Amino acid sequence: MKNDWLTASSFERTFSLVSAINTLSISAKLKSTGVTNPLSVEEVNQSRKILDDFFNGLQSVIQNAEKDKYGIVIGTDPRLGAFALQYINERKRVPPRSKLFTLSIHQLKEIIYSEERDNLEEQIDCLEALRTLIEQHAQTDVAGIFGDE
Amino acid sequence: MIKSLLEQHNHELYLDLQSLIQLVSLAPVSDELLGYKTGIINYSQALLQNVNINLALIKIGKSSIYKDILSRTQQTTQRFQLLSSMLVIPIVNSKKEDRICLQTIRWLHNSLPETKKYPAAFLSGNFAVRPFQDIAPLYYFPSLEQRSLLYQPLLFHEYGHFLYQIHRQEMDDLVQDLQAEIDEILMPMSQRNDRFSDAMAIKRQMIAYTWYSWAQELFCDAVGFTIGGPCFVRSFSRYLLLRDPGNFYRDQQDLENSSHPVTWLRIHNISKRAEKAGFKNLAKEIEKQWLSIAQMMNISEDYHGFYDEAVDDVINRTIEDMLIEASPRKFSQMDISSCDWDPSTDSPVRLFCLAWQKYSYDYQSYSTWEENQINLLLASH
Repeated sequence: MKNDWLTASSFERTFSLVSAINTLSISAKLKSTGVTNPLSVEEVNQSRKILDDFFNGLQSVIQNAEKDKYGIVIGTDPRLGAFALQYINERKRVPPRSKLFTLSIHQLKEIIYSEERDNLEEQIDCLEALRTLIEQHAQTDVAGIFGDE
Repeated sequence: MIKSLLEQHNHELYLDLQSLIQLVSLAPVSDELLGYKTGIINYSQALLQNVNINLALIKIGKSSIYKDILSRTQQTTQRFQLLSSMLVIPIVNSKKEDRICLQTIRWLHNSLPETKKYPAAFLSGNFAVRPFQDIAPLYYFPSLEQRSLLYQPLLFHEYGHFLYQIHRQEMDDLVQDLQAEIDEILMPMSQRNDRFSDAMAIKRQMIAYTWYSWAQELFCDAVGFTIGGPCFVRSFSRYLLLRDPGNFYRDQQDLENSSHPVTWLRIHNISKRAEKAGFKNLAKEIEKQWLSIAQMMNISEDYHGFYDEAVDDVINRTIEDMLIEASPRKFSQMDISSCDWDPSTDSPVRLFCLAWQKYSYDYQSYSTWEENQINLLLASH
C-alpha cells in the first residue's frame, strides 16, 4: 500500500514515540545513578503522556487483533495494525525477549509512571525493548519518506 | 570510542543545522511563503537546541545513556535530512511561478482556523500530500499543471488529507464504524464451517481493511467537491479520464490492500454529489464521458466485491459525518456565477470555475485568457 499521507503520519508518530522513550529512559538511568537530569520535568511528564496515549490506542487495537484469526486488523490505520500484530507475536515468543512482552498494557503504564527506585530497572528494560520494536517497524516509513538508501 | 563518535557527529550536526538556518534565512521568498519559511527556521532552531542537549548529555559521561543519546542523535539526523532533502526545497528553489499554487494552498489553509496555523508549501511531483503537523505540511503538484488554473482544484482533495490528519481520532472512529458495518453487511446469512467459509471470511475482512484507505480518499473527493463544486468535478475528471485503463478496472489482487478505490467508482461518487447539489447536466456529461471510454476499451464495471450497492448507504453516511467533523469551506453561489472575476474580493474557486467555463466555451483562446488572469491574480496579492 503506497500512501504518502499514511507514511508521513506514521513517520511522525514514530518520531514522537521514540523521542518520549529516549527522554524517559535517560531520566530513569540518571535517576538510578543519582545524576542530575538536564531534561526538564515538563519534558518528562509530556513524554509519559505521549506513551500513555499511545498505550491506550494500542490496547484497543491489540484487542481487535487478538479477536481476529486471519491476521487482518481492521478498525485502525494499517500501520498501527501491523505494529499491533508484531507486538502480539513478540508476546507469544518463548522465552520472551523482554519483560515488556510479559506485562499487560495496564501494568506497563504503571511502570512508566512509577517514580519508585525499585521499578527503574524494569522501566529501563521495557522502554528499550519498546524502542527497538518501534524502530524496527518504522523502517517501512523511513524508506517511504527517503527511499531505500 | 562511542562517546567521541557521538560527540563528533553532534558537533557536525550543529554546524550543518546552522548552515541550513542561514541558507533558509537568506533565501528571498514571496509573501505566500513567508509563514512556511518562519516555521522551517523555528523548527531548525528547535533541532539545534536538541543537539545542544545531546552534547550536554554526552558530557555527563555515563555510558549507560549512550544508547539513548545514539537514538536521539539518529532522530535529530533524520529530521535534519527531512529538512534538507525535502522541506527547505520550496524555500531555496523558490520561483515566481510558484505563487499560483502557493496562493491556492495559503487560501485553503486560511479557510479554517484549525489549518491556518500550519503554513504549507509544495514541491514538484505527482499529486500527493505529506501532512506533517509537527514541521509543516508539504504538497506535491506536477510541474506543468502547477502553472494552470484548471488543475488547481486538485489541491482541494489533497487538503482533505490534511483535514483528516487534524481530526484524526474522530475520523478514525468513524472509519472504524464503517469497517465494522461493511463487514457485517457482507457477512452471509448462513455460515458454513469449512475452508470455503474461511476464504470468504478472509476476503470479507480484506475488503473492510481496504476501506480504511478508500474511505479517506472518498472523503477527500467530497472535500474537493465541497470547496470547489463544478471546477473540482471538471478538474478531477479531465485529469484522470484518459490516463490509464486502471482507472476503470483493476484485478482483485490489485484491489486488496490498495490505497485508492478504482477511479470510476470515485467518479460515480463525485457525480452523485454534483447531481445532488444541482449540477445535473455536469454529472450526466461526466458519467457519459467515462462510460464511453470504458465501452471503447470493452470494460464493464466490476469491483470484485470491494464495492457493492448494499454498502452505499453506510459509506455515504460516513462521508457525510466526516464532512461535518472537518467542515471545509463550501463553495458559494458567487463562486460559481459566470460574471467577471474580481481578484481583490473573489475567492480562487470563482476564478477556477470561470477558467473551466472559458476553457469549455473556447479552449483555443483559453491560454491567452488564462495568462491575463494569472497576472491579475498575482498582482492583486
